[in-house]
Amino acid sequence: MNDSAPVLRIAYLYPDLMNLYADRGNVTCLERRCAWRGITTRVQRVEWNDRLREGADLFVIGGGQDRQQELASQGLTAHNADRILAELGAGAAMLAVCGGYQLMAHRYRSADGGELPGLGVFDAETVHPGSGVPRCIGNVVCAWNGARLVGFENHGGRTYLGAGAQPLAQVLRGHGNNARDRTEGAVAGAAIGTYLHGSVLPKNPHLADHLLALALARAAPGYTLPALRDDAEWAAHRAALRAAGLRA
Amino acid sequence: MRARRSVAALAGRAAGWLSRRAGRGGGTAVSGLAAAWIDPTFVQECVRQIDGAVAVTGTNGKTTTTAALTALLRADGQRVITNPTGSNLERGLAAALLPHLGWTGQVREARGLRAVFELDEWAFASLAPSMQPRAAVFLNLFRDQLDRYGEVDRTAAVWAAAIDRLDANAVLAANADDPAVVAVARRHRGPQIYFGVDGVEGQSELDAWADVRRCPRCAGRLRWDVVVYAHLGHYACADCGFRRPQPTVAVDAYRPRGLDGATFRLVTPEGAQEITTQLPGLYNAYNLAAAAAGARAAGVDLQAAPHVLAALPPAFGRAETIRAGATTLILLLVKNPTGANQTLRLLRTEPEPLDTLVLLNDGVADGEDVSWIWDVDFELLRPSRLVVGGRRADDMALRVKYAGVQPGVGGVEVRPGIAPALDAALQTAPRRLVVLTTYTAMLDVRGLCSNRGWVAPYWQETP
Repeated sequence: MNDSAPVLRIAYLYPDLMNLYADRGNVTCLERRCAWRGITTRVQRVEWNDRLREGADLFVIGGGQDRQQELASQGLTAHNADRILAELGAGAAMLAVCGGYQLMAHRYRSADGGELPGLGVFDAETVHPGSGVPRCIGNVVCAWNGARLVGFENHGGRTYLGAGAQPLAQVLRGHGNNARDRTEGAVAGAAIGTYLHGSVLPKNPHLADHLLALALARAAPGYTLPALRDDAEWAAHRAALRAAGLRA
Repeated sequence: MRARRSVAALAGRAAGWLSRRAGRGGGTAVSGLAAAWIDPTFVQECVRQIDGAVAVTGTNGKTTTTAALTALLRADGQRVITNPTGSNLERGLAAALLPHLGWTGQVREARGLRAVFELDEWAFASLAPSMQPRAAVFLNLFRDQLDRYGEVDRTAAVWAAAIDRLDANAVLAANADDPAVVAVARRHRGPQIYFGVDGVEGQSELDAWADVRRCPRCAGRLRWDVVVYAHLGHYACADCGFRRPQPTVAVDAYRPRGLDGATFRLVTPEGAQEITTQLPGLYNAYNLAAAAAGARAAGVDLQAAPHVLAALPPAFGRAETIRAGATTLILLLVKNPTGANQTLRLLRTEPEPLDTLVLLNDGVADGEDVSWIWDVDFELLRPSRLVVGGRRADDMALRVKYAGVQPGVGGVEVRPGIAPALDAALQTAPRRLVVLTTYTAMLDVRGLCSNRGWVAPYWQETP
């Protein structure tokens, strides 16, 4: 049973650099879904040049432009990589979207041959094929856990998973990781990487609660998430399915 | 070449005529498309024959600025060609030029004729080097329809490349308060005129979704003394000395009057003028300052500015009002986070909560990616009643649910589509109904209003 109201610590990484496609909606979504259940959230914003001030049960990072992604990569390796990896090793969860997902894999190779080091959370690497190759843009639907995920993708880099990586989902519509192997995103322990914007969590409430359950397994062992009324969430989910040309 | 242009002109006119006969709007896009397709040099050749063009570009405010600048030039006695319906790609320019061509493909009465063209950011980059405008106005650079254009930095990069190819005699009018704009305008070899907003208290910090946070020149620490909104304001880089240029044309003592407009002082080297405008919001003060700076760049003095700007009606869908029976509709076009957030703040300056209709479409012209609504502070919305509609009504309903919006009366009504949503919003016959709408949804609303006899189709209103 749920005895006392749990507290969830969320670290929002580089909102000043990595919020290109309104990925901050994911943080809003997590906060509200916790508040509706009486779970207290403490969000620490980790901006460029900041160090993590306290531990976290859930990390969230969004996508950015090339320049900003470079700065975020510097900030991560200089100040926060070890701490984040230690927290993940101790069971913390993560949602890394688009550019943030790329930074959490081994490396990002840009079109001009430059290379950004990543944290290696996911056994994957990303290659930008050059500005002459079209970006992967459009509505995405993929199969996940016997259900579907919806979102919008917009990325130049192609991500290829290594032997040790699990894809998050299988692409039904859209490009996904690399427009070739029908995989989308990656999973490593309680960390999830994905190319889906939308923002992805509000209109995929099953994914939002999956992530909260992963994070709460550490923050409040034994706590069970009460169900919410998600009519509005599923209506938007169905609208995204229709936008992708699928029957809702 | 002349023969080809003549054929292009003929084909364009024929296409426009057929399109109008088929009842498909004003036929402007079709006629311009045909002309530019047959003769790819159509626009620059026509512009070469007249007394030059002024280009207006930037993420937000192009249509309003173009209208204000055109009015200032006309008040100065000039004959001006413009593309007033917001059709701001090459085809829109071609369509605006077409009626001025004789059967030989030459522009009639070309001497003393000028063009003021609103240009999409990327259309500016591709057209400006060949068109060689005499002056160019750079408004601002915000995130907008990233599914179409990729990233904000890429837009700045293509602007920079285009500015490098401008004639050194071209005069740039640029927003001093936007560091991203100033960084590219500074590359110009020729004269630059800056405009900006002074004397406002501004916000305590940058908006969460602000696109520029670090120095666009050295990536160093950019500090703002004043944030007007988004990343616009008074800034300086602590590392390389890059800073806001002193504006030649400045807005000062800005006083809002809710949705009814504002008053402010327009300060130039010649002195200060009191401006009263029907156009609400600080963003429109920027637009009018930009038009004044653009007029200076085009060599026009600003003596008539108070009179001209006071008479300027809101542009198409920009706080435009339509009488719909007992209700006055106030159409507010929203298409990206910066514009939407400014509009929401504007609504907060109204003394009473308003009946509100929010329409979200996901057409190509709206942006197929509706993610941007999560960067809009709908938490600011305090409607008396709220209806959401459009093709992505369910996405908007979800956004206002997470924003915790509580209408004064009833819950949030979700009515996918345009007509059902408009009808639901008009059901209680409110005195005023605020309509926040994306671009294609606004065209649909105007179409409905026109079918019901509330407003003339827009292509009949423009000369």
